[in-house]
Amino acid sequence: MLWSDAIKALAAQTLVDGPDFEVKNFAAADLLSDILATSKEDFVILTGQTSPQAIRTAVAVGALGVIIVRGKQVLPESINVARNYGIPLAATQLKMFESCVTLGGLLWSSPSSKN
Amino acid sequence: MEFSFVEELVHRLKVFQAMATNVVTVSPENSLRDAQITMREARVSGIPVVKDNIMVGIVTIEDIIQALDHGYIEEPIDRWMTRDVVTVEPNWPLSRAMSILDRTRFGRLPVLDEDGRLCGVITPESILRALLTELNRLLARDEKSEVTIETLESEALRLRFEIEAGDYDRAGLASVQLKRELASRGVEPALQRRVAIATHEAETNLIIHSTSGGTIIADLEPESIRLTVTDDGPGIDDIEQAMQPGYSTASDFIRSLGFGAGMGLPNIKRCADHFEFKSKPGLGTRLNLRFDLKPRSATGQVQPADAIPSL
Ligand SMILES: Nc1ncnc2c1ncn2[C@@H]1O[C@H](COP(=O)(O)OP(=O)(O)O)[C@@H](O)[C@H]1O
Ligand SMILES: [Mg+2]
Repeated sequence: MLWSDAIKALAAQTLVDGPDFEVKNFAAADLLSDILATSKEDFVILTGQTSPQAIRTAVAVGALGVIIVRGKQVLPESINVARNYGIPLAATQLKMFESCVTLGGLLWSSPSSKN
Repeated sequence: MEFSFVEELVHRLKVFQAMATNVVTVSPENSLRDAQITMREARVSGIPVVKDNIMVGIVTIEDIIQALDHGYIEEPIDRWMTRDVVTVEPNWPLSRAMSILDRTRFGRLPVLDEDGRLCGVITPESILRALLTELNRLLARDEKSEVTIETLESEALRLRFEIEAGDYDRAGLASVQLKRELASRGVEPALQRRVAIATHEAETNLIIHSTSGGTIIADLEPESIRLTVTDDGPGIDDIEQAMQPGYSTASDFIRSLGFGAGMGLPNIKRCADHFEFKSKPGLGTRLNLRFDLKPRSATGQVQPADAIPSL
C-alpha cells in the first residue's frame, strides 16, 4: 500500500511530509530495542513513543516513516529530528491495536504486497 | 494515558532537579518571633524546623499570624509547629510532588533523602524555575553531538563520538550521524543499517550503564568499518550473562523510556561481521566490531537472529 493510504485509513495528521512511497510492512512497538531488532524491509513504524530518540531509532533501522499512535502530543524536537533526517511523520488518534487492525486489513488485501 | 508536552516534562524531571537547595531552617527552641524574622529575611512563607539534622516540623506564615493574633509569638516554635509534615523524595517524578502540592494546597514540600535528612524544598517558584531552565536547555540544544572527524595515516577516516552517561535525550544521535556519514560515502543501505543499529545499542549502553560515559570510534577503512566502543567503568562481572537476550540491569525508569529490554548486546552481535566484547569489573568495557564492506549474504540484508524475537 502507499504511505498516503495508511495515513488516510488511520485519519492521521501529517507532521512531516514527503513524497509518497510504497509500504510493504509495518513494525509496531513501544520499546526502542524492539524496533532495533526488526529485520523488516520497506516498513513503517507504529509507536506510542513520541521522543526524538524514537525518531532517531527509526532512522537507524531505515524505517520509511513513523506513525505515532494514541493521539499523543508529539514533541516539537521530534518533529525537527524527523524533518532533519527526511523521515515522514504522522500521528493518529487511534490506539495501537486499532491502528494495526486497520492497516492489516489494508495490507493483506492490497494486490501490491503479496509477500 | 495521554500526555501534553509539559506533562511529559514534569514526569521526566525529578524532584531533586526542581527543588531549592539553599534551605533556611530554624530550630525548635527558637521563638516564633525568631521564625518570623528569619522568614522575612529569607522571603519565604514557610520554614522547616530542624533539630540535629533531622526535620521535626514546619512553621508557616499562617502560624505566625495566629501567634500574633493570640499573643504567643514569643513562645518556642516547638509548642506550635506542625509536626505532621507532608514530604517528598528526591527521586520521585516532579509530577508526583506537583499533584501533592495541588491536592494539599501547601505552599512548599520539604524533600527528605533516604536517611530522612532535609535536602531541599519544592515550591511553586522552584518548579517554575526548573521548568524554564529545562525548556531553555531543550530549545538551545540542537542535533549536534560531540563528533570529531579526522583522517588517519592509513587513509582511513575516523569519526569519534563522546557519549555522556545519563544523557538519554541524545540516545541514537551518534548512530544517525554515523549513518548519514556512511550514506554520503556510498555505503550500501543494508550495511548502513547494520552499523547504525550496532552503534545505537552501543551508545545507549554507554548512556545507561557506564559510570562516566565513553567513546565510540568508527574507522572507515577501504575494506571494512571498525567500531571501537570503550568506557572506564563499572565493567561487567559475568559477560556470558550480559550477552543473554533479555538480561538487563536497567531500572524501571530506564525501561519507561523504551530502553533496557536486554536485547542490546545480542543485537550488536547479530549485526556485526566480527564481534569482540571484553570487560573487567572496576576497569571498564570494550567492544570491537568489524563490518565488511562486501555483503555477507546474497542480499546483504540484516539477518533475522535466532536468539532475538523479531517483530
Ligand atoms: N558498557 C557497559 N558497562 C557496564 N555494564 C554493561 C555495559 N553494557 C552492557 N552492560 C550490562 O549488560 C547488560 C545487558 O546489556 P544489553 O544487552 O545492551 O541490554 P540492556 O542495555 O537493555 O540492559 C546490561 O543490563 C548491563 O548490566
Ligand atoms: Mg543495551
